[in-house]
Amino acid sequence: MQEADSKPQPVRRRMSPSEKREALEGFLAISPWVLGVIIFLIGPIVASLFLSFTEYEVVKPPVFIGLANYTRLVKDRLFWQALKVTATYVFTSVPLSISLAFAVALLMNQKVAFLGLFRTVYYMPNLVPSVASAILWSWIFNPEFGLLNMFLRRLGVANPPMWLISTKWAMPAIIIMSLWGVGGPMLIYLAGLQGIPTELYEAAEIDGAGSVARFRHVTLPQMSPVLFFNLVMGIIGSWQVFTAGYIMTGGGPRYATWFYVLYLYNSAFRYFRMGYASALAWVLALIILFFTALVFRSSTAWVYYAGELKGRR
Amino acid sequence: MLGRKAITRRRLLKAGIGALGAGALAACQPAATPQVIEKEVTKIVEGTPQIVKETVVVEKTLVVEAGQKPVEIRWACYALGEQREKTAQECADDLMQKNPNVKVSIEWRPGMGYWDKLQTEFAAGTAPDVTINQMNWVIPGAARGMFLDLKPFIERDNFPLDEYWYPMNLEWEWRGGLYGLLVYAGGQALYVNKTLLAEAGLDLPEPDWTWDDFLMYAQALTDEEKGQWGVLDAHLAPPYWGCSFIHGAGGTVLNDAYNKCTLTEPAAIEGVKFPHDLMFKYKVLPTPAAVSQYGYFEAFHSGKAGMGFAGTFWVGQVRDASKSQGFEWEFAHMPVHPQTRKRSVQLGSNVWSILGNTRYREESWALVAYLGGYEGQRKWMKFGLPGPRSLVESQEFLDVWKPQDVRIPVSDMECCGHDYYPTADCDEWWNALGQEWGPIWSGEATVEEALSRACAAIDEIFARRPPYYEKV
Repeated sequence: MQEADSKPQPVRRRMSPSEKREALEGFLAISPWVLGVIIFLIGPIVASLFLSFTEYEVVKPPVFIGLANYTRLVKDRLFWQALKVTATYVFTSVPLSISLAFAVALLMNQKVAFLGLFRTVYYMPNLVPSVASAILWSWIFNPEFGLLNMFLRRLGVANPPMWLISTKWAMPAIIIMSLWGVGGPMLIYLAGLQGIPTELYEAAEIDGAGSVARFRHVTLPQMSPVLFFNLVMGIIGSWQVFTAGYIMTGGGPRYATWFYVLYLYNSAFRYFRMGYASALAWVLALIILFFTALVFRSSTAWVYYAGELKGRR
Repeated sequence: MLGRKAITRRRLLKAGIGALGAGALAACQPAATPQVIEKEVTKIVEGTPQIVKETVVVEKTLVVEAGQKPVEIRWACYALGEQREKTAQECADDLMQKNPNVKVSIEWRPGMGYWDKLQTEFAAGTAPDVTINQMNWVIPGAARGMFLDLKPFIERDNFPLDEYWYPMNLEWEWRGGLYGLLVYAGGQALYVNKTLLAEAGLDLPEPDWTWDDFLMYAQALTDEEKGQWGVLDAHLAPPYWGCSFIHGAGGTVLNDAYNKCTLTEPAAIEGVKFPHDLMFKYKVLPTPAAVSQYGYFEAFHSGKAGMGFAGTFWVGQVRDASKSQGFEWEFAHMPVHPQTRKRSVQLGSNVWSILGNTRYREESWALVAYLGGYEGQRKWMKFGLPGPRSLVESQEFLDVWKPQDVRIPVSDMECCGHDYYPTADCDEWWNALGQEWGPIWSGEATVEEALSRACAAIDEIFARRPPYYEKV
């Protein structure tokens, strides 16, 4: 009680005209951003929540139907297929791309000739628009004339996979394509690797640590915040995968690449079910929120922040 | 006295400005004399579609008085290429000259996302007045009130729709209403490379040739060593070109009411097996994978295919390619089935439609009637087939298409044109069918298995239909 009583009481002071002007200018300066967020972000979010409780065919006014869209989801075979396909993609593509990007970053952090060229080459796919890269990979995966099968035939594979037109191989093909974009996270890892103080490695070396021990006890803990960041971004991005399914396969064959957002888009703009699509969007938001929260919760066990005191984050 | 407000000079001024504004706005509105038309329309009466007589009021704009500002209508279209865009502008200029009260503003838009944007604009009330439409947009849009029924205007103005040789009702009619007039007519045509035919010692096929003759030609024209295909047909999945074999064999994709899949019936299965055999048994038709690598019809353009199914709208490219590659070509009739003696081709054109919430119905109709009428169709006939019979049979048109005989695909379309099974939910069931269709060509499913699964998926979609989706 004494401590609370002794707390200095906030003194309300009138703002001087110059302070008021300064505050006004500040609000004016941030107002485009604030307005943008309200109009283009919060507005659509609220609208989509409302629409998810309606039957809304876009070109006709919405009709309130309560939870019908959400109950329909449970019985919708294509919803479960979209969920299964996307989850498969997320749980395969994210760990693979994180590992590969990290491995490439470790290589790019070595002192070798033409390092700048290698870094550029690895990053360049990220500069290719996603639609263009989807078309490019469609050619690469062409079962008859594609580069990949041509290469496999040279290696002696008599019947190489049919890739995008095969129900078994379409998803692996898209996962392989997703690894083409590891240059983005690689660059972040590289920045992280270059930020690790060299004295930590020197100290470890003096203590007799070999290269594996140095990687395990210095590199990994120091890089854990970067890994954490890329994991969160990877999860969020992968649940929203769209272009590959839209351009390369149309979600087929036999719904083998029926990604969640593709189904959402089709429902909204091709099947005139914007209300249902809004419900799909909210379920996806909750799924992403769940997995992101899970990663955040687990981070206390594996993410190391230099200078952090446990319990006082 | 508390509730009353004194009339001050400021209030009087405000009222005056308001009255002036209202007057100006009223002057901008086209004066209208409502015209009453009685017609039969289909309505949903307690969940069941019924044909009822309804009185429709069509507003007709009077001639605008001198000095009045012209009404500006927005005409939207996805990019069609320089030549077509130039023709569109010529049409707009001509219309504006003849109707000084109308100003046409053309909006060329990217093709990607065109339909999505149009729906959103319609919902927001900012859609253009007139727009180009594809077959999978018109009926789904019309079923939801997105487009204006043109029948009342056609009847009121005696628009010569009966002069059309093209079966407009098959593609663009929904529950008694008509929701578009032709950009130009089009559909499936069979292109043949005359130079390769001559090399193989073959004459141009006879009009009544059969599937057996067609196979014989395809085999004679295939030369594996030269990388030459007997025939090209990339769009095999219904509702595209592949349907012509299903219909030829006596099958259908859907029943007459368009509410049940009929692909599991023996005739339909036979119609799917024919191109399947061409591909895998006789090896005269490239697989979809092979075609996708080089682009549809590229083999024909480069003189490496004896025959090919494509839309009539490909003619310009074929013409250019034949000049650069030095081969001669001609149209051929679609072969008939040897037993059923049926011939079938798929129709496929685009239309100009009026958005349902346009403020300028009369002006929009004036534009659409111009484009779909004699003058507009005459201007567009260098790109496609004109709808009016007097034009398609005119020497002027036949000369445009010389040396090829354009009467061949025209007569096939007129006698044996089949629609794309347009329904309010066509995109959804087309997708369901496409998903099951793919494994046929990758060897992962037999024709019977794939069609059986496709029908189950399509019927599941139809079972969920609200009453207003039914074709009646």
